[in-house]
Amino acid sequence: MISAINITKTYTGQDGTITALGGVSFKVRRGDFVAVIGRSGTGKSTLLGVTGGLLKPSSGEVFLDGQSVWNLDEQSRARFRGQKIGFVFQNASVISSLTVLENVVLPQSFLPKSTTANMSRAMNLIESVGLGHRTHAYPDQLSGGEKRRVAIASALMNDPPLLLADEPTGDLDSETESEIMSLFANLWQSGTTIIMVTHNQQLANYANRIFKMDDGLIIESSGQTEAEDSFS
Amino acid sequence: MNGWYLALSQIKRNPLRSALMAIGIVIAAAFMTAVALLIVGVNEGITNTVKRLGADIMVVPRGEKIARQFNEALLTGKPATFYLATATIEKVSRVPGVENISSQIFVETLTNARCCAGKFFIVAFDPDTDFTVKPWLKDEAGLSISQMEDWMIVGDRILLRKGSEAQFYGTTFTVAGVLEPTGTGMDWTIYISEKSLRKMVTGSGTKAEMPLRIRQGDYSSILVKAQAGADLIDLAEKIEQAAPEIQVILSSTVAKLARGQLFATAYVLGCIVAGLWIMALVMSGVIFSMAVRERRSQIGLLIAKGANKNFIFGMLTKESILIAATSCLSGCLMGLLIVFSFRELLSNALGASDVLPTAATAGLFVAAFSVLGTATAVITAIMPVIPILRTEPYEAIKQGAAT
Amino acid sequence: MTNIASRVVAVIVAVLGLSVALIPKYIFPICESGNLGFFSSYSPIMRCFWFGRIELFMGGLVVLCGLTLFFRPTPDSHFAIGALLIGLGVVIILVSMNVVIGSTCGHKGSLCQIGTKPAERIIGIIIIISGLTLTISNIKRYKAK
Repeated sequence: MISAINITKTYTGQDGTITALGGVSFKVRRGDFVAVIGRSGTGKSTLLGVTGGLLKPSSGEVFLDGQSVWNLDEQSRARFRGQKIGFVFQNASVISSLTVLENVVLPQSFLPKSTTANMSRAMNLIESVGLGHRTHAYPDQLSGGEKRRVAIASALMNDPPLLLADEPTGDLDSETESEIMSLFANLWQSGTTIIMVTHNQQLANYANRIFKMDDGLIIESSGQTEAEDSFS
Repeated sequence: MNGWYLALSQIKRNPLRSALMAIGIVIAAAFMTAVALLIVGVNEGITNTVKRLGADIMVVPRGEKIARQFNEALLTGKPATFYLATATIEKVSRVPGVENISSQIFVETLTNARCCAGKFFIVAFDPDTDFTVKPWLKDEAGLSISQMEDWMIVGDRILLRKGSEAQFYGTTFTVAGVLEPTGTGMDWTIYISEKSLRKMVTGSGTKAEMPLRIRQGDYSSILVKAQAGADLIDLAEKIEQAAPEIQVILSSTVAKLARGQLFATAYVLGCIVAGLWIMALVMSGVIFSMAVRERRSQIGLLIAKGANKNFIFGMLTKESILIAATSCLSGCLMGLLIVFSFRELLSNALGASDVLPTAATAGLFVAAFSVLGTATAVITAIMPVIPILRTEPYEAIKQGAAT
Repeated sequence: MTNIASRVVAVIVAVLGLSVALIPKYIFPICESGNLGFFSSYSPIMRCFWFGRIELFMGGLVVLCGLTLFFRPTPDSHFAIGALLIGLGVVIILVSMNVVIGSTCGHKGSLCQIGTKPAERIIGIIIIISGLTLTISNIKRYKAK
């Protein structure tokens, strides 16, 4: 489903050039749940950004369902992202000016031929993340865990085959964390491909594959085929 | 859910920020509209005054100060006193091209005149030759004049009504009529007959606190009606040649003098408006770019959900349009409301006959300022935002505050 | 409307109320009473005196609304104060238009006519707008409650 070939990402700042990704290659199959783990600053989030078409790599290529993500122009890439990828971030889960329902429906607005919003799907998704009673609440009336659930429901609105999550439980208590992870597990069971960045080793246990990163490289990967190994 | 909806939701959910952005624009737009309307209104008032003068040429004693005083008296009714000798009237009346003349004598009341506070401008005229005052008389006042002894005709804004009495320099006058509102200095002027004036001058020596000294045969101004088709400039030159001790004021000169004063004030006010507008734009631009900077992670999130940069740029533009257009329109309307409400107060303060232009001109100004104001406000709000939009979406998400 | 926004509106409302109360006294002063003589105890009170007093009272009520909103910025108080402000704004305008206490300040060129009344009308309009803002912005939450 995803193949990343020799991705590099460097930043030039006052302290010289910093290499965030030093030539990473990997493959992810449809239906995989991949946990990307590693210490802070090892390039996990950068890898996720490049894979999701949100951060332009310095070199290398990412293919999603055979389509080169970085060869598309900005508009096509945005459309492609809207159709194929759902995102869940720790930093930005929801749009603060929109209600729960509006946040969930939002991704549908960016589809190419957006017809009337599919409200029943949005309501089902909200119900499925256990927020049926908070449909018209604004984010400032929600807890951190509730916001993350809204983000998950919103990410699934366009029924994307791939879900990318960056520290989705980073700032949550352990109880909420396990609730969110159960949601991820259910999604994976239902066939969604998930790549989740986390620094929490325990959360990686929910995944069927683990990429361990250090110094901008995948230094260890588990659960992959020999052919895929050759990429890393 | 389109860009307008998202823009509106941002405004609704951040009322304080939106209000802060709007307040400077509202104040500046209100001030700008009020000043523009005042300038245009006063200018229109000057045009009306000149149209209503009735005389084509006015003759007064020579001197720049006298011309200024005369001009002010015509426009605002501020008392002016200067005198010409009788011989001048005869010289002027003999000039070819002069159809009709009427002379006037100017008097300033004493501060403690027994009717009203402040000094008033009294103009004495000869009802038989007059062609400038009588056309403005209401009702059957003309009839009353012929039947009364010491009558006076008062301008629309003088606090006296028909039948009221007032004493000037010891002589009691009765109001025979009130003039129609003219929007000129006539509204603040008291008119009496030349005959009564001469009587008042004689009696003032014994009856008044201070005698009124005007020599028999002295006049203040001569109003000239030119023959149809006469060249006014040519006629003015001929009059000045016939009587070198006088100066001729054309009705167009009155307008020019008044406009000279207006434009000096307009220049200062224009500079203040420009400064205020720039400050408002900078303030709103800074607040908007700060707000967008704070929302970087949300912008990144929108891009992650499938929005492209054009959509984001459009959404932010729409947000600034909504704020700028609403605040510009309300500011302009507020400016109009202020000028309309304080019309009389401003007229008094500026010494103008009127400060409000016609409804069509006012409407045009409000519309033009709303559109221009919105355009400049949107440009200044959006310009600093463009570099923020160049940030990689993922960087934006990482840099932004958690939501 | 957040608490901070409510408090800002509350301060604005209080300032507007103060303006309504103080304009007839200090900014565009109107006639208080007409004393017939230095030794005379009879001072006929003109109607414009009562106009000033009514505006002072109305202004006081608006200030009170502002203070209540400042210290109790709940959806209930938003709704009630918003409605009250609309009413007060209307009364302030009507009083200045001679509808409530009849004709005041006879001379049309007096400061009362050309300054005080227009100012009271403009502030009355702003008070009505503030009231509408408070009511409309909280109508959803009030209904939900």
